[in-house]
Amino acid sequence: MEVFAQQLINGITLGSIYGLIAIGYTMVFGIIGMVNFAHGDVFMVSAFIALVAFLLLTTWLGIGSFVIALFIVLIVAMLFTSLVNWAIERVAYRPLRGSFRLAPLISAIGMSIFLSNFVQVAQGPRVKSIPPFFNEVIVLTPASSGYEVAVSYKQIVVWVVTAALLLVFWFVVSKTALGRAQRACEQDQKMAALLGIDVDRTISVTFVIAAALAAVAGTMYLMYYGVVSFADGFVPGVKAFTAAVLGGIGSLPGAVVGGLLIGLIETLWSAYFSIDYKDVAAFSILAIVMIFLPQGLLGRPDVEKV
Amino acid sequence: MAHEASPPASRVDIVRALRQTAITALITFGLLLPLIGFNTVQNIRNEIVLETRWPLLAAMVAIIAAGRFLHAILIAPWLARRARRPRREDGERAVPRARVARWLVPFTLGFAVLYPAIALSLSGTQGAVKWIDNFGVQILIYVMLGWGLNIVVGLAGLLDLGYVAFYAVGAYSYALLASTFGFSFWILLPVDLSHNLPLLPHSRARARHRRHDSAAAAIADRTGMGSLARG
Repeated sequence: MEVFAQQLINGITLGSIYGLIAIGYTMVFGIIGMVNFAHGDVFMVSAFIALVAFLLLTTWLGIGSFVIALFIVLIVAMLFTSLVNWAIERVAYRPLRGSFRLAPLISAIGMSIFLSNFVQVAQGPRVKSIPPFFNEVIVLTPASSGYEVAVSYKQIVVWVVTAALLLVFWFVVSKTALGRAQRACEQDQKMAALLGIDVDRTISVTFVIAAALAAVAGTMYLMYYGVVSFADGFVPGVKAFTAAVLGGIGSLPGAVVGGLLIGLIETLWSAYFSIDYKDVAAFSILAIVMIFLPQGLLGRPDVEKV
Repeated sequence: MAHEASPPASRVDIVRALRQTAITALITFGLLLPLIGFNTVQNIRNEIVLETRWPLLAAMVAIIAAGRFLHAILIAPWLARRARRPRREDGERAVPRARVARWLVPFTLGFAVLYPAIALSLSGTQGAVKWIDNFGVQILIYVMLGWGLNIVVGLAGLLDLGYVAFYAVGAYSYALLASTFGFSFWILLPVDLSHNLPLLPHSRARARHRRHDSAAAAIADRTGMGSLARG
């Protein structure tokens, strides 16, 4: 029981990170019907930007408080990653809009390879680690019981930041004019354009929001694991994409639910079975869900967009 | 160019070009500042520290800005002029293309057949190993993979990124059977083919969801198989 509770805590933390990345996939897919394979690498780039910002703040400017440092790092990472994703959309996807269906997809795969290689060349192939912080834990079980169920401060930070940003983000998408424009473009781009919505701008904003959430995930990843390397984008990216599909791609709550599920499946499988096969487990469950529920858990029935 | 239709539009506008260059330089600076401007390195005490690379950053921004400026004052007006010129008929352009296509296939095939001989004669028996064994074999493997992908993506219309997993299954089953039982290549060739047969129903299942789902499943396969193989 204690082991299970502990794994639940770990799984939710991992799942929050996946969920944040998954939203980027699901939004971009919703609006232009393209799987943005570079998104995982945008996440990795954001973790590197966060690393640089963190080192700048702590070693150069000498900010002692990790809370303030983390807050500034989050904002810096969100800004710069948004710029990166905006540029990617302009350079790699916008010229291919209206081209055949596979063209932007292949371009995205190329972008993914480009980003990871760029970071490898620019920052070196070695794993970068930051000094650990927020290491205190809160022990939840009484001292008499044999197994300690503990929540670390890091995990609480991940939960709080994820929840707060999801709330802000949900507000933007469902209550503001920007969100309305976005949903309109999702439904019918031509009609939205006829009604005076700047479709190109809306798509750019979608990429910027997706990147900002990936940057939050990247910063949380860096803080939680303390390490990052140029190759760290692919696997979390693929898992987040899996999460988006599992939850029903195009559905925002679905992406979060899918992310949490993938995180939990992976953690529980690693705890009770074999850690080597955790990816196989996560993807097998995806395959099973897709056979019986092709739209994902919370997805809408598929209306073919031509 | 007998008649310039709209002189004001085609004249090189230096102010506009400079403004575009400035914007491009600013964006490039923003993009490259975190990862080129700063470098994270480990010092002798194994601590991670920051180094700056301002000259490199400045050089990159300068190159891109120069490219943008040249584009604005030379290439963009040239493209605009070309777009205004009357287009050649499609049939006129098709003739040289057909001629190229007619000779391309025999030429490529001939080159492929003669490739080992050319490599041997140019670099001798020692040097040719690299060209034939490393490059030649690798190229032909990619050719075969390309054929397969052409069937899956081009003819069946499935974006099957998991296709490469079949390649891995073939390689692994050949390696395991050959090293464990010592079977020869020619015995294992059909055996390997049959190893990929169990994956057939799975591809049929895949064909039912045609859109993003197939890409998802494909990626899932690919990663899944990768981890199976590693596990």
